[in-house]
Amino acid sequence: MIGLKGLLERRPKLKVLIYAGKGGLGKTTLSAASSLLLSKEKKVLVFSTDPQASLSDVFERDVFGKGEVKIAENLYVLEIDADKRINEYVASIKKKIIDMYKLDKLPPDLEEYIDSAAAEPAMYESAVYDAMVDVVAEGKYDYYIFDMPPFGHGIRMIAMADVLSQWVEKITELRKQAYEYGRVAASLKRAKLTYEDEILNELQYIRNRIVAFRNIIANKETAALMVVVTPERMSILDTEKALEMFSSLGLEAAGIVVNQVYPPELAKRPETPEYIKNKIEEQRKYMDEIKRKFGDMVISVVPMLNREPKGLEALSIIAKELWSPSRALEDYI
Amino acid sequence: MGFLDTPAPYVLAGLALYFLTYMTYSKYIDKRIWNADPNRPTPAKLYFDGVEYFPVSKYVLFGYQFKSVAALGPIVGPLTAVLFYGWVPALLWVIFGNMFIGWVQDYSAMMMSIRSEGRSMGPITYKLLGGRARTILLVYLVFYLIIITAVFEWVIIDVLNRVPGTFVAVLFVLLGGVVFGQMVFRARMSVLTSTIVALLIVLIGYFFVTLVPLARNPPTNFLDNPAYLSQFPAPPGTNPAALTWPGTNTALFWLVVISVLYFVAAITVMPKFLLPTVYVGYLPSIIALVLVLLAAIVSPLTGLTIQQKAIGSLFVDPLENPQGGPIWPILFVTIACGAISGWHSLVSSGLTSKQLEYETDALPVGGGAMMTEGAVALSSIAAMMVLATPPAGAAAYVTGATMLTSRMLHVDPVFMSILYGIFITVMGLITSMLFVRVFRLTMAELFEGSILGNKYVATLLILVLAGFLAFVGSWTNLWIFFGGTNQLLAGLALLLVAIFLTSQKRPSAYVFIPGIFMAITTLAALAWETYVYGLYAWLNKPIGVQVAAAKLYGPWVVSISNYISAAFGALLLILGIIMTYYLISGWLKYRKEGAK
Amino acid sequence: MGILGKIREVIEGMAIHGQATSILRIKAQIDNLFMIITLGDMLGIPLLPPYYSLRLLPYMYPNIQTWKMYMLRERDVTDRIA
Repeated sequence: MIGLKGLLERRPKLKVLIYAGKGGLGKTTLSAASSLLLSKEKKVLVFSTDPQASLSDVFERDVFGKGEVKIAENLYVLEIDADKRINEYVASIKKKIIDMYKLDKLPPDLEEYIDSAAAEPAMYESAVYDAMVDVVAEGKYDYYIFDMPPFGHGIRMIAMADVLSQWVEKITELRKQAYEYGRVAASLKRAKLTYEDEILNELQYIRNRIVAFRNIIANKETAALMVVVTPERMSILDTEKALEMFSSLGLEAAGIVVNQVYPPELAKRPETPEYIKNKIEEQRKYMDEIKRKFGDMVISVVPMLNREPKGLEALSIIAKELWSPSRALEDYI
Repeated sequence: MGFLDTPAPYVLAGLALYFLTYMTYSKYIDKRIWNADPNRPTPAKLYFDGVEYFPVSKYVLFGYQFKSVAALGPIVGPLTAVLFYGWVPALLWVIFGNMFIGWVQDYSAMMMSIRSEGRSMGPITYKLLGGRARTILLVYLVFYLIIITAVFEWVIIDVLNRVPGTFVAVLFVLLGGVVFGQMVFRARMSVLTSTIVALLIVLIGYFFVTLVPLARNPPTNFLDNPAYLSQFPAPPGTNPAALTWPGTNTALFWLVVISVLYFVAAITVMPKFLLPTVYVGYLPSIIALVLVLLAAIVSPLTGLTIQQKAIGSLFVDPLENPQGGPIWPILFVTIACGAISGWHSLVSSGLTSKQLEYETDALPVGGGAMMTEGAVALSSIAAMMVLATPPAGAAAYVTGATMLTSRMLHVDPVFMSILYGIFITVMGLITSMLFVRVFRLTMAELFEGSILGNKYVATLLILVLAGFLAFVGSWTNLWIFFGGTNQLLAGLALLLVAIFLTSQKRPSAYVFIPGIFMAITTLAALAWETYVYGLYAWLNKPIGVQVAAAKLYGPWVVSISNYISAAFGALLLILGIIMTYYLISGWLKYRKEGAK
Repeated sequence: MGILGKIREVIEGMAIHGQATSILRIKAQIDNLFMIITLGDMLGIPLLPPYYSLRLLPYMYPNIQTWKMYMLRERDVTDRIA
């Protein structure tokens, strides 16, 4: 296993590290550990959204919704409050409508439409991606570590970036046509035409955002998509599905990190409880499966800690193993 | 020369009677039958969508409605009727037909649409009489459009051929339209600037043609030998070589030219070519219309007297003169627009009813536009009145109007003849282009998914069929045929309104009686024309001017055309009878329901 | 409105109104397509991510009601005459 170290050697231009996978696999911990490693030499931002297993817990500091917070030298944390961001965004849209048309309040059906759109899961994802684009576009850091929310439909945005990009061009073309017709009709009827340029600007903006997001994620030289798996049946199946989805989106996972693995020597120790021993026995089966299925893609195996992975000290144990694994994958089988 | 020997008193009397009707009868119907209420929201307000439904000023709508109803109809109809029956019967029908039937239909169809959420004739028929009736209406429309396109094609061919220079001038109008379209859409220039430039182009073309004799090319019948043409039977006093004959090379040439124009117009983007041309072409047409009416009114001052026969032969033997027919029913279908026209019911309910701001605007817009069209028809009769031996054909109007206006303005007749040549050609082209488009849309509706519904196939189909009928047909018969279908449509529209009023428990006699009259008259007229076409096809004989086509292509070609016409006529007759049956039984049914 | 204003409007009706209406109809068709692409999730067809399509909403707002009217209305070939 090449470890994170090997990955960086292979891809010297790497700037963005993305941890993807279902919730509860330790993505946040791995993100934090990676950021800790990389911040030794470069300026790093670790980015998360998940309010449950959060960076706040891992770093033992409340960083949620507080913007970019400096944790240590070169190490910055940004844990965005996606719900708040959506609410603010939606409120700004509503206010814009009310202001533009000098309304007392929004018509109920429109209000309902906006609120139901805001409640969609894809909305949450898009809001996070949008925040990602913001951070990367600023370019203040050498490395960006993203602790991604579980992928839903929103990730299809990547596959759709090209289509959307073309669409937006088409739509823009349509808009220009409509504008032409509208302009002529308006001037024939001596009426005024409004907001057309703003619509075109918005369309251009949307397109730029989507393409920027795609470029961040899909650039194999600068971005690495890391998939986290645990030695359990469901997790392995999920990972297989995730890899399929990535390839269907034209993405490629840069590496797989196996997390929450019991050290095999634990089984030999007499004081180890029986159920742990059984668990380890079971784990060997799954590690074998992981090796067969993912093979060289596995860059690190990170051991289960005997306590909660909190604080910089605990993180550094994980980081060490992540950076350069002490054992071969075979040793776990 | 007395005042009564000029067209003026008759035109003025017509105008006065229209005015009187408008102030009394029309207002009575508006108030008592329909209870027009300015406070009741119209579809334009209720279903506002900013595209089709939105309130528009009644003056704009009046102009729009007038433009949509009055094209060549109020000109060609009266002139044909004058040729057949003399000016007195034509005048009487234009005046009294319009007073009691014409405006009634336009206005009532509009009111019916307003009270039916702005729906047009198709959906209203569907609602009141069911799907089959609507399909019949659409099939009916298809044939109607083929025939009217054929007639207008012939009228345009006739004018292009007999008023040399018209074509060059019309090319300038088209150029003006294209330039206007490009300026407004491509160069984003203001409508005013573009209009001025386009009108300058039209004016340059106009003066070019009127001042430079060389521009008045190609000459009349330039592809045919005059000696050859002189063998054909022209009306007494006219030179056969100066007339347009069906089947000649020149006629074919012009037919191809305008068919190409139609086809291009049908497949290009409307707003960038067709619409600007309509716009640019309409402006000189307004001047032409106003001038001829004015000239008719001031005719006592210009010294032009009535030369035309007051009353012609009221009954003709079809074997002797198949181009006319007995005064009843033929007069009543020969003059459609100006007296009453079914097409208007479609226009009234197509767009205008969706845009009326107040219910009370329906009378000035629908009724007002129809009476104004009556004035156009009066002016057309006036133009015919001053001609002693009108040259057969639609170009007669150009001759008469030229005589009236050039005398009034003291200008060289060539100025006026080109103006009226442009007017007839442009109006004809514009409306035919609309017909071709509506035909295509209707075919797409009737034959959805089939090859016949295809845009290009449908367009080619109408161009070929109508072109063939125009090319070998006798235009007066085609005109009567068109009138028959058009007037039957009017009868059906009136009966439909009667049903609607009955379903609303309102009195309906004022539309039911004219509706029955029109239905019976026009069914009789269609039967007559079907009989004439069938008879001549059976006898393998050409009708009137068809003799030229028969000479050139053989009598069988003419007979095919007449068989087609007879088949159309028979079909329309059957459809008309079925439709009338539907309407009358529908009316009785609603009446019975109302009585309960 | 003075007599000149009335004449001007009548001429406008004759020469321009039909043209403007046809143009509006074409524009409406383009607008429809645009609305479906951008606010398609209103009809249950999400094409643009809703997060972004919401940005367009303020500009589309005046069209939404009329758009629904336009989309939901029955239409017949006889509506196209004129």
